Amino acid sequence: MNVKLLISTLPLVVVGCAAAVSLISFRRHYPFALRMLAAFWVFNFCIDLCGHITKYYGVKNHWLYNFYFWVMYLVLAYLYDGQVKHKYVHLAIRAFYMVFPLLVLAESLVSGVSKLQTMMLVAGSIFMIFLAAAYFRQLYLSEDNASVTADPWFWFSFGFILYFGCTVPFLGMLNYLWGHYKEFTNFYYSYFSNSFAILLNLLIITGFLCQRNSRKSR
Amino acid sequence: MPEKFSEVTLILFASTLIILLLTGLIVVSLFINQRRKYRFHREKFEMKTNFDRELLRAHLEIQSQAFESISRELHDNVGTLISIAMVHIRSMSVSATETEKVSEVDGLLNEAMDSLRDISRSINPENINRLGWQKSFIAELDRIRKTKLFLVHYSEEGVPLAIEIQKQIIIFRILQETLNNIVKHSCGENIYAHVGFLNNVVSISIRDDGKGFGADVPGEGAGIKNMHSRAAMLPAAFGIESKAGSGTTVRLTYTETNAINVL
Repeated sequence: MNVKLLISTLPLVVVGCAAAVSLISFRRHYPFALRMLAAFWVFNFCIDLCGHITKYYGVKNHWLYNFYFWVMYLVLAYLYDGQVKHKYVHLAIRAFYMVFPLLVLAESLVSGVSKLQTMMLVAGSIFMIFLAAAYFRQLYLSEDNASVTADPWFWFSFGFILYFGCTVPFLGMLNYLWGHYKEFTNFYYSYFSNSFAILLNLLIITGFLCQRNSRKSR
Repeated sequence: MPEKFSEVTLILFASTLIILLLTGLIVVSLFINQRRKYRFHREKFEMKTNFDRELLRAHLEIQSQAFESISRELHDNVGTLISIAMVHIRSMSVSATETEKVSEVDGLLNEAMDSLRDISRSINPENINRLGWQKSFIAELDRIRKTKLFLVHYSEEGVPLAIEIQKQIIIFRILQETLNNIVKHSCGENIYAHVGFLNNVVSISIRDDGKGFGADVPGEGAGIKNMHSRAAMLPAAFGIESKAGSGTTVRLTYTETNAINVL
């Protein structure tokens, strides 16, 4: 196994670990949101595994990641709807549910599904950053004296804000970069984008392991 | 990275760096805020505890003054009246047939005077100051013994400790309330009181062989609440154990931080 393959496989291993941890800590007493996120992370691992297999066989897999990101944004928006107790955030999530499918449809019609839908990626990522920031604001203003490090959603939000924040400039320009700076894109994807994905998964693992019977979760 | 360093890469790295810094800033500010909140809650809790303690102290001070005043009134006013009545009776010239009755009345007045003196002593805080909590407690047990309603068994072990006078009053009031409850509610025959001193810990247990209480716990009574509040004020560990038909045991364990053994 060469180094390049090892580097590209490492995020898959970490996603697998995160999915395993989320399943191991999948307890009956867990709130619905955590159980759903655990299930989603297993789905995430399956998609990533398919992505790696198709990539290994030289099959273009952008359609798979398009599908993955559609599901991801919708699931995360739904989960944050239960976490953030602010009426404007709830309204924003409703609006997102109406606008996002339209955006996906429009981009699918214009660019097709075989090409990575960067508009959808940017819009979705920015909305996820907004939701994670709204959750941080809620923690900041909360009268609750419990430690934030014992709240799984603190770690998840930290991971999402870090991952989406740091990858949105790259993923947003991915098609352009792929056309003009192929080697740089490969380099950035392998070393930076994957590092943020690993970081996100480590924070997800931390969130699942911090085992708080969160009152904020539903 | 064979391609030339371009504006695109600069934008990419710069934006990533800025976002990383912003995320770090948000998380750090969240932690700082959390610590501030924790400190605020702790201060608020300490303030509330201090306020409650002061309130209880004031309450006990008022109660102590009221006891002192009642004790003085009993001793100076009622006691004097009984004394005068006794003098009058003794100075009466009565016929031989009434002598027995007068002597009986004199005996009753004597008994009333003794009881009055005991009550006056037991509620007067100055008396507790003078005798100390342990002797006052023994005097209280003697008073119950005199009523012949209970057989009182007292035991002690260890070397007594010097305890701050205010705390002695609190300890005595808890024990006094316990004895009052036994007399009023237990329907028992024996009272077992034990006082133990070990290092700087005073352990007191008072047990009766009365009817006790099971599920029908008298937890909401003002007397028991006051006992708990007083124990919290010392602070001391206070507990009541009881089973229906098996009597009741009250335990008080107090640790003196500045203990000096006294003999």
